[in-house]
Amino acid sequence: MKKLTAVIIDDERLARVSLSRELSRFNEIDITGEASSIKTAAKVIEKLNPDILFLDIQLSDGSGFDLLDKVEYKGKIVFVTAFDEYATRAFEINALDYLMKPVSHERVEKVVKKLTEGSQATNYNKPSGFRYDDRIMIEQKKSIHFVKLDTLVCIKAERDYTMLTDCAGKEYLVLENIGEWQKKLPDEHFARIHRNSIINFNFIEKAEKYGHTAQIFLKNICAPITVSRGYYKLIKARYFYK
Amino acid sequence: MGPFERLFTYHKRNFWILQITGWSIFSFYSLLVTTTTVFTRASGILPVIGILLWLITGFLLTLMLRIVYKSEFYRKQHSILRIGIAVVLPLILSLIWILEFNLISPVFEMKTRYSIFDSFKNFILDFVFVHGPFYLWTFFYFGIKSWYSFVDQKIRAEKAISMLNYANLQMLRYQLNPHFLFNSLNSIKALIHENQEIAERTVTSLSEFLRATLQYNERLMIQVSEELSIIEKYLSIEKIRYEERLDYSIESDEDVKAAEIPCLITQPLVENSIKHGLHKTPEGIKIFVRFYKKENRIIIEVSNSGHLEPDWKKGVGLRILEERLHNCYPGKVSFTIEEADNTVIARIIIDSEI
Repeated sequence: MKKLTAVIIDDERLARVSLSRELSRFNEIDITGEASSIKTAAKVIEKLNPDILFLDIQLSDGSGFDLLDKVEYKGKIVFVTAFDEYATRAFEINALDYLMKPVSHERVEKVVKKLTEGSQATNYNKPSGFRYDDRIMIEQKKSIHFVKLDTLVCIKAERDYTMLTDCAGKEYLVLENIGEWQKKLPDEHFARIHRNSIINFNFIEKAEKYGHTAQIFLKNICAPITVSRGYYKLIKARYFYK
Repeated sequence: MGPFERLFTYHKRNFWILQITGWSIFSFYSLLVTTTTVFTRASGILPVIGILLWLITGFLLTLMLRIVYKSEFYRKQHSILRIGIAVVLPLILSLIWILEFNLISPVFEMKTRYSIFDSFKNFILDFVFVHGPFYLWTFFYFGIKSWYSFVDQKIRAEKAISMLNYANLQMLRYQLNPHFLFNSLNSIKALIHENQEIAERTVTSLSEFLRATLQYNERLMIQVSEELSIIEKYLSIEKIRYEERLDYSIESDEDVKAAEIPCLITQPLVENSIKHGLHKTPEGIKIFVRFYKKENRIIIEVSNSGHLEPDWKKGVGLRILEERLHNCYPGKVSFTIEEADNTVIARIIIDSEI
């Protein structure tokens, strides 16, 4: 069987030592590299393109999520953290594997088993909906991103796909239909205003009456989005102050 | 809060509510007395109008009293003089009021004249109906005012206590940073195989630091020498985590070691220095902690190599620290963070007569 290559990224040497010690007990995994900062990690990942990334969330020069935005990496990721409520929540809602430092033998064993066999390592109690401060995992052709929901401006349907736009103007194409998004997004912040669009209220620049419905102008997005007649009624019923 | 309870705490409108209510009651009573016996012997509406006019004047005169009592001039006077004014002024106003009564009495056929020392009976009546209102008014005015300031102080004190409790809780959370705790344990785990002696020492340091944190109390004062040793423990653990990327030195003048400071006041500064210093310079930083005395002032400095962000702001941890300092040394402490010569320096200066 071919060994899986792995890279450990942690800014503390002893933490890397500790984890690679745990992993060395498994023949299926071959640690080919290590890195201690986002800067060096980007180079190591590019050079080695490992099958697995053991990624610490709190690095000195940024977070593990920042690193993923900077590199083209499409392999498996196991997150490692000592304590981070927000990150842990992100792992859970996205059904990701993670290890808590100091890591336990049993937990590492489960994770390795999953990596090699594809079984589920964690007993996720995956929540059905998202919170506004959640980070969601978005896989692109060549990279993986963890986007904060509160940075999403709008979601537009493109046949079976949806196009997400964030406040920096970055776009992500996702294989999930708009109805699924509507179910999961917190409706205090997001509203479906058209058959093919969901918007984030917090990014509305202005809204203009337009016949029997309205047009909404969002920050950083040139073209206004029209609220369709049917959704206008729903929005009025749900949000307008009477 | 109901309209009735509102009267018990200060609201701008309360004065007018009380003023109008008080005068209405007094007017009702006066009119009752008037129309029966004492003031007038004629019947008809004219005397009643006269009395009403007179009562309105009284109402306006008490407003004048208020203007005086509220004025900057009055409040600036010596307390004896203020009491003097509060005794004399109502008397003067009541004399004016009597004069007015005597002037309008024939016009409105009230058929009564006041002479101030007419008889003992009249003197008592005068006192109740003429001098009385102004003294009574003064009495209520100051009474209610001091009641409000008493309630206000109580509310403020309660607020301060609840804020203090909140700050305490936050501080505790801040110091028992779980991230620090678990990362330290993780380092120790690796050290057990790599260097048992250092592993042992780290366990001891961590225990001692945790013990100090658990004993932590908002008001607890400890000697600088003790604080030094706790900070030294803390830094030694961080040094094990960050190895060559963290260098530190702790210095203290001999004459400051016995001085007392709030316990663990330095720790958030050191934690901050490490976090921000390493974020900017992941290759490595140097932390410098110094305690010294200068002209009766205790000075605590924590500095690290690096720069301050231009849009830098004090975070929750530092704001709590600042509040705690101001609680311990009201008006006698300063806390600054500034950049000089590529070094960020956090400085606490405590005025002490110890």
